[in-house]
Amino acid sequence: MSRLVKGSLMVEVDGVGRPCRVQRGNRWLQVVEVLDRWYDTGCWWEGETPKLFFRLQLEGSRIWEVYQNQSSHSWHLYKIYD
Amino acid sequence: MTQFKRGVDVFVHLHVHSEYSFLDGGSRIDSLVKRAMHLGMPALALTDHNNLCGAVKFNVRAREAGLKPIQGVEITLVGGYHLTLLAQNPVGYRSLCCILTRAHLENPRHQPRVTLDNLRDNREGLIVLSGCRRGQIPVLLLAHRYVEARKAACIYRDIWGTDNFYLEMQDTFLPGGSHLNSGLANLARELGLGLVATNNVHYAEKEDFKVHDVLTCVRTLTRIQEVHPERPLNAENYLKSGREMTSLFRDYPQAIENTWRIAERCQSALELNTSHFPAFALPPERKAENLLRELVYRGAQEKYGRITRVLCERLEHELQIIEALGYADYFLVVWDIVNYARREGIRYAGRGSAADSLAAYCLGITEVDALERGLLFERFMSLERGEKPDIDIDFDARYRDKVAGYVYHKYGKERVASVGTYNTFRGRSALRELGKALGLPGEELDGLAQKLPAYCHADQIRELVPRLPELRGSGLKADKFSLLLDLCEKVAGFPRFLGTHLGGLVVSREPLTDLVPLQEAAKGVVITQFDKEDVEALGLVKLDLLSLRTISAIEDAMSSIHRQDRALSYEDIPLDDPATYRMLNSGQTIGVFQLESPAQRALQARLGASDIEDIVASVAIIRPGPIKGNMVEPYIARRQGREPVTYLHPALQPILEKTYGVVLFQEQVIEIAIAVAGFTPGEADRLRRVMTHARSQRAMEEIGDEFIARAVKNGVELETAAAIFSCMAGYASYGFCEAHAAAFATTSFKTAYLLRHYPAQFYAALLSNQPLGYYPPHIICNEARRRGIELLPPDINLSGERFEVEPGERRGYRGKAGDISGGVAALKHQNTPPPRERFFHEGTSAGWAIRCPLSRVKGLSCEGRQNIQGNRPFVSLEDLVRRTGLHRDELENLIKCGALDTLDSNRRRLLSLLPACLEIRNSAEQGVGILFEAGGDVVLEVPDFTEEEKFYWEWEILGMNIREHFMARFRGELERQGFKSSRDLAGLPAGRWVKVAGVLFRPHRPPTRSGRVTVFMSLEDEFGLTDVTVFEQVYQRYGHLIFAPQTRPLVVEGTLQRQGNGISVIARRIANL
Repeated sequence: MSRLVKGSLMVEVDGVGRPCRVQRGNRWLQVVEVLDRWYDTGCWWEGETPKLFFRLQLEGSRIWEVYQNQSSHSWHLYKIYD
Repeated sequence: MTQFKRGVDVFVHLHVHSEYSFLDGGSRIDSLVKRAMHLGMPALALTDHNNLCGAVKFNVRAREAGLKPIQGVEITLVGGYHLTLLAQNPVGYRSLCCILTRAHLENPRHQPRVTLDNLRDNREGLIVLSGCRRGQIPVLLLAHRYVEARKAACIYRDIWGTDNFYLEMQDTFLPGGSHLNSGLANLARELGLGLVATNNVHYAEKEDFKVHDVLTCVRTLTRIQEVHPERPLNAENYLKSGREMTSLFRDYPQAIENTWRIAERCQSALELNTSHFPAFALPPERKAENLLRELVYRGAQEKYGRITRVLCERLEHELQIIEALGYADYFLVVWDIVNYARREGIRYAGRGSAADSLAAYCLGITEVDALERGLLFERFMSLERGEKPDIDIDFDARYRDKVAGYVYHKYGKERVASVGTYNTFRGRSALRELGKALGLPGEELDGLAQKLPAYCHADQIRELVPRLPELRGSGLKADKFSLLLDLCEKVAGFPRFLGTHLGGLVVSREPLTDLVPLQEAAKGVVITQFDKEDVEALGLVKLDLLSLRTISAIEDAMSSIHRQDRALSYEDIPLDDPATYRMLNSGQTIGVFQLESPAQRALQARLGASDIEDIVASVAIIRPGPIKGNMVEPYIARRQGREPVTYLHPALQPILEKTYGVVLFQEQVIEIAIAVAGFTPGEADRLRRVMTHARSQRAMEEIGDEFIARAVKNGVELETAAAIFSCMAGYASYGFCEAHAAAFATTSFKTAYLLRHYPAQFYAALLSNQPLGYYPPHIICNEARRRGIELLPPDINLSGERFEVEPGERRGYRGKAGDISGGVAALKHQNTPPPRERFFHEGTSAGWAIRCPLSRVKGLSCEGRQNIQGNRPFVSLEDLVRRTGLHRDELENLIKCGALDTLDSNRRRLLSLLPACLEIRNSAEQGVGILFEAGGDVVLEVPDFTEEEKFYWEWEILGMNIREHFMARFRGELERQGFKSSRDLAGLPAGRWVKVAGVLFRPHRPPTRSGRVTVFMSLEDEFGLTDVTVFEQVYQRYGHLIFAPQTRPLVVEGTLQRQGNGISVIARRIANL
């Protein structure tokens, strides 16, 4: 099961741009493994900017999907797997 | 094997789609080649979906750019899986052709599928990659079915071996990509297979993703807001640099290395410019050259009576060139085809530059005497040029397929195919299809598309909006269309689908599947996946066997004429008939082949043609080029002696004498170069081609320098040489092939002769062979009526399948219901000819009538027509209903259009009786007793339809008006308001202000030298056509009325212009009627 969530978050990336630590609220969580990643151009005809998604295995067996907006470079939480 | 210079980031794209992936490629081959060169890549593959359509262009462009082309294809397997095949060499290319041909021809159209057996049978010379995410192995790996994926990989490996089968890795940032690639890597390790990285390229640059996405929407019939599994998720399928690819595959360096290793192994696969034309079947002891010589001389003997020295020299000259170029077989093949047509009584006419050949004339391929006309053989074929000859032959449209069938039978189905041709995105289609994909309303798009001129290219729309008044207020400038117009510009000229070339057939020595993939087009025709340029580049020779409805009409007219006058021979029609020239000079040429357009009618009315040379010139001069080049006026002035005929050099006189010193024909350019600058015939034709096709000022200057230098060396003064070249340059690009013009002119004059002397038969034949020529049936009918020919409605007791000529003056038989004596009597007298002198009554055909056929009746099925013709005569409506089984709507249409008028002229009464008649028939069919008889002896008193209603129904059901023209209904009111009819104009002086009204017909804007728009159009009324010229200023005010989506009757006010016998109106004001 997973649920869609909205909210910005802080992300630390490694040398090739992959997340290695994410911060939600006051807490930093370590990325154990990048499980997958993909680009989505979204509704380009409406001016939407592309997003780079990552599915992350975090410490504590958490699996999150996060994305980075490719124009603002801001990070957002997208989905949490239960 | 090529060895590439191995830099750090050497990478070769081995999976690339171009515009020839038909709606699945967002960039042109040119852009892909350019991008690969820009990125410093040594090679590039082309792997379009299930076709090699782009192969020739890709190979030519890549080689020109210094890039190694690798020819491949992405096939679809049974089950829908994809697989990437690359040809290592010509053997591999042949395998690709065979695989694709089988996939297309053994499956329903548009659903090519490749079986494993097909792959096993044609495995030689291929390197195979496991495919994109739609490949069988990736699909199974993504579904976590590793064992099955392994099994599938083993099957492929066993077909091509570990050296030639690779697992294809992609990293286009799609979900599941990491899992897929690690699965592929595991398989590779386990099975000892190589990995190879590709990017499944669908466009050259990242921003072209939008084009690809919208084209995918068009292909999958989705709107941009809708989701579809085949739409791309992101813009990662562009032609990435070696550095980008190396970075993406840093964990799999061998996958990068293998791209250039494969590229090094692939050799040139496509062999261009080799000859594959078949040898003409001969007994072993006979040589094609000898047989050709024998046939040519035999033909010459028949045509000329004796072989003179001049004749012999010319024939020897041609035969030597034909033999030297190895085209004796080609001539024999064409001779054999026309011989077959002659044997079968199929009318034909050779056209094009082949008429420059005396040998072709002697073989009966063309009708133009090249010797008598002094035509240059080198325009058709020359040693220096060495190009493949191109012989075009027009056949009676009804039998063209029969002739093609003979070619298939003679050379074998595996060696003959029709040539493919591309339907491409143009302004209207791009606007409609892309707009729909973008979610714009269909009706709005249709309205806008209709306003676009037919000639508009998809990348011209934005430029035309402010220039054309009919587009100015269209809303196309609005922001909501901005993206659409951007996309239209990008797809301009993209191929939309592969269709069948009108007449082109290729015949090959080897089975065609060794050279080109074949597929099925509409109507089951097997076509090549290459268009005509590409098949020729490949070394195949195309035969153009064309359908020409004019020839069918000639055949029909001659049959009809022969029923009254057996003596007329079409072949012997005199080309100097004064009555025909009188008709041509009057400009009354509607229906005459090539001489009927408004511009041609205007020319004929001014030119004063008096021999066939004038007709040859007429055919050549009314073309966009000469009109744009302002050649028409000087030519007419000189022809009429209003301007002196001068020559820049005495050597030009014999060459330009027949065209009054004007360079009109391409052959004249060649002759001038020979006579003035001492060029050889082949060199001169090269000059002609450069001048005709020169795109740049520089190319023109270079050829000019060469001409002038050699002319001076030849004793011509520098200034004169420069002036001659300037004159040639001014006209050459507009020049027309004289041989082609001469071939057409003969048909033009002969059709004019038929119109002049047998107008009823000729117009009936034209009407039976529609669509044909410039004018639709209703205008031909109007013209026939104007010439005094009666138009008769369809008649269930008289009409056949085609328009037939019958004696007039018995029209309008009005028998009472149930009485068919009039109809039967008409049947009995149908073949009684009117007095012969009526044919020759100058300018009219009084006494003749044309009967409309049942085939014109909308909704009347073929079976229905056969029922009528097989069971007539009918004595009443009830009789017709009972004995034919026609449906209610068929019967209603027959009544409404007047086909039962000879049974009862009251059409409303017949309609009111119809339900009862149908009831009687149904009761009889069900075995129920008849309770009453329709009508019986009682004549129902029902008021008939009004004339307006009858007029409307005739137009609706027949697409033409039998009784009178639409405008005739308004004539009284128009006269009261001071309007003149087209007939009235003949009696008015030039310069007079006139008001005319009529139904608008075919407004068009030919190119002009100044670039300013001039619209030519016609207004049709009951007396004929009024030609109207609209200049730029008036057009800018009223263009929206002229080019409105729906044609309405227009009112034009302006001044009357007279030129020779021609009359036109220069428009000043235009309004809707």
